[in-house]
Amino acid sequence: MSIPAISILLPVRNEGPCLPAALESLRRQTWQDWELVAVDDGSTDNSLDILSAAATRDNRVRVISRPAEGLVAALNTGLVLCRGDLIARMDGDDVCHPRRMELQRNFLVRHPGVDLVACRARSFPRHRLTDGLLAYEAWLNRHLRDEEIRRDLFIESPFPHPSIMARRGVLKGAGGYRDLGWPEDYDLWLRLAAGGCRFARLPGHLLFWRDRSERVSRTSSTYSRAAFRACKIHHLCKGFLVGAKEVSLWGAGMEGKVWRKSLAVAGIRVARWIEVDPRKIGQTIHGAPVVPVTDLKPGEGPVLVTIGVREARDQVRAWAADNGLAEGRDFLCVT
Amino acid sequence: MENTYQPFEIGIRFRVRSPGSGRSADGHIDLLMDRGAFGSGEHETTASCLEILEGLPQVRGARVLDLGSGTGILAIAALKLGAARAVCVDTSPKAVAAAKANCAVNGLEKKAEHVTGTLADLPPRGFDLVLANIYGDILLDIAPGVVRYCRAGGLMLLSGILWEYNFDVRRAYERAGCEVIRNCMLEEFSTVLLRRGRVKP
Repeated sequence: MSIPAISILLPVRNEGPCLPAALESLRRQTWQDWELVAVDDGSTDNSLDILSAAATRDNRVRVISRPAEGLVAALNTGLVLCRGDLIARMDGDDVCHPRRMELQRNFLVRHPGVDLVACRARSFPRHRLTDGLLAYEAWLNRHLRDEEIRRDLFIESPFPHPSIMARRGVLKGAGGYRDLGWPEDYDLWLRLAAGGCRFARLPGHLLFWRDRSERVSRTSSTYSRAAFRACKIHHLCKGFLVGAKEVSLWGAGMEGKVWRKSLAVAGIRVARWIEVDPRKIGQTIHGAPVVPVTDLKPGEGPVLVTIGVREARDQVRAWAADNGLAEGRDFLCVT
Repeated sequence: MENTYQPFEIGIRFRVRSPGSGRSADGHIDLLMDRGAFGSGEHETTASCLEILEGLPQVRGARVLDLGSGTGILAIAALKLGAARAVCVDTSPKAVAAAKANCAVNGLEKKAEHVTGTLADLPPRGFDLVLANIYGDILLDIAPGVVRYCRAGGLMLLSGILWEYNFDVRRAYERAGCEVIRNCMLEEFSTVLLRRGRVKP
């Protein structure tokens, strides 16, 4: 078999009800030169039967059946077997637009400086979506260029995992996926970013992201807010917070307080809190003084912005720009 | 009626034009519609349905249900293709008023009936052709009802189905005893033509 241009990496565990729709959306792709590397991770429903039937009908489909060892093991197993220069991720309960592979592949061919391209995603069924998911979707879909994606990298995971296509060398060069008790995809994006990868997002809605209450990212502790925080802090300690023993936190609300706890686990103490709320200024919270924003000066140590509201974050950025503080050098938004 | 616009063709046989803009003399079937028919960006679904309708011989003499009829354009097109009668149903009183006015301007008021509400507000009837250009997630929810209002062997033309719902809609209607005759994937939406099976599900 000749080497395909694109390898589609699909880990599957118990996706029987939705898998046929996912597979059909791949068969409908306008770009046909792909292989599907489907890794069944010990499914106990009919997922393996569905995959095997697909492989019988279409020799582009390769099925690897494994005992259940978890998502990261399944992903790494599949990654090793991907032969295409471009690797697209897909999930068994999602649906692709028919032009997804074509448009992502064409973008990477035309932009050799870009290493990973995502696309806008649309969640469905629409009427069941929570406000939180709708807000996340809107936030994700706003950022198309590398600098926008990087600026908000530590706020939320920038890419729905099944929406990306990346160069094989870049994924393999990063060492594939890791199982460290936090989201494996966010961990990979942060490693890629630290390694200088350039990102982009196509403006078209090319990935339809099925929302189900039993989705692993809803039910597993690996995808809890605490796990996301631990992932961020792990990577911050190699970058923005490298060598730091203390930080200032801008925002002494709920988010700030959970960040204090998580930072303490990493051996970093909060030296001061930055606040605009006059009722908090002058207090001491967990042994650190609460000071007004006007006390902030460049070069006084790293500041993490732990304000949760987007409009407030925009105001922080505007104030910082007016007062000589550079994002990425003096402060970083982490919520 | 308000707003004239440039007439435009859909499919091979239809020309959409504003009331009072004259009549086609080249054999096109005029659909006289107020501008609102195509203002919402769902043009590709309406166009897709009209293209399929014009190629369906079963429309001639059919009793038609247009669910979520909006401006009534699909019912009007079916009647102009020779359908016997049409029932237009919409939850919006404004849409129902617009459909009534559009049917009248097309000289079809005696062949069209208008209902404000949902399927539940219709007495049970076996239509020969059910048209439903409404969102895919609604089509999923009401699948059993839609099928019930279609006689055995009758046709259902469903559109407004965003890409992500297409597979699930087809599967739901197949499970309700229908057969997919055509599945058209458009730029954002899709249109599905089904036949209700002759054997009761």
